[in-house]
Amino acid sequence: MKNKLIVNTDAPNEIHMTRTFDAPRHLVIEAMTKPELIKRWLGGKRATVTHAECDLRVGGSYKWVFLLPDGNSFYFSGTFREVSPERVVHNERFNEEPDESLVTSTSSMRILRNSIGLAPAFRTVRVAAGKILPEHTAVNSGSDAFEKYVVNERSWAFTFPTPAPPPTWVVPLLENPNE
Amino acid sequence: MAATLDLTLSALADPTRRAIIARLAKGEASVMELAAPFAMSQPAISKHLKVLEHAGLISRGRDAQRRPCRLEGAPLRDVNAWVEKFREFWESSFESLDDVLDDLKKRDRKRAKRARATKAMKGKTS
Repeated sequence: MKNKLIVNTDAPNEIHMTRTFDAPRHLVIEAMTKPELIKRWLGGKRATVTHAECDLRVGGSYKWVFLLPDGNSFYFSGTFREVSPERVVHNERFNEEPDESLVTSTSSMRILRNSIGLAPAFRTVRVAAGKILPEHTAVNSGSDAFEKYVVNERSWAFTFPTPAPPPTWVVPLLENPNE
Repeated sequence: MAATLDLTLSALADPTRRAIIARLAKGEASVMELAAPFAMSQPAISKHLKVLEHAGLISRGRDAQRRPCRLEGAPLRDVNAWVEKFREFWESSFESLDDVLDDLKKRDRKRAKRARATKAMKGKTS
């Protein structure tokens, strides 16, 4: 079953999205920050990442270059302001636009209860279903059964400058001729 | 499309204007009626209405005295489409990410298996 992406636009100048991944956090972080892995998923069926660079540390920068099916290309770039397993903050710029948005990504590990009850590995570490686990618990567990039941819920907040309109970076997506 | 969207979004970037939109969603209203819930003068509200009208978010009636304001749906539908594109982009990306994560999980399981096998071998030899 696909995990659902929840997009919330209740807050002014902010788009908030949340999604659960059926994998421990360290793998989600790996997939989201290693350029060769980013190229495999970012853009999905809508765009291809032709170039990716990512220096995941405070002050480090990133750049994703996208190619659309119509041959148009655009990129996002920014600098990391905060980096921890729980929270990553970076600014985001579309091409050379002066406006930039702030992207705050937060993450929480969660254990899922299956239909039978808790996985055996959980009983040994005595954690209740739904409790947020510190990163090292999952990493050091070394159990396949354990990993299966650990999910990473991530939230992103895209904050746009006020009162200026959001940057124009979604426009190429809006004008996708394949629609 | 892009320029119109910019206009709509900048018109919506103000909380008073969003409140006016929310009020007009319930039905048309005069400037006086719209100003009532705000601690704002009618000319201040009129200024906001001009911005909304310029963005095509509202229209004004012909009645010279009352000039009731009416919500226009088209620009809001564009904003909706904008958010929908955003959602589709990330939804599609994350579905691909799920596949990458499956591969990484497989890789880690293989690694763990190999590590256990190596450990067992070492146990036998020592």
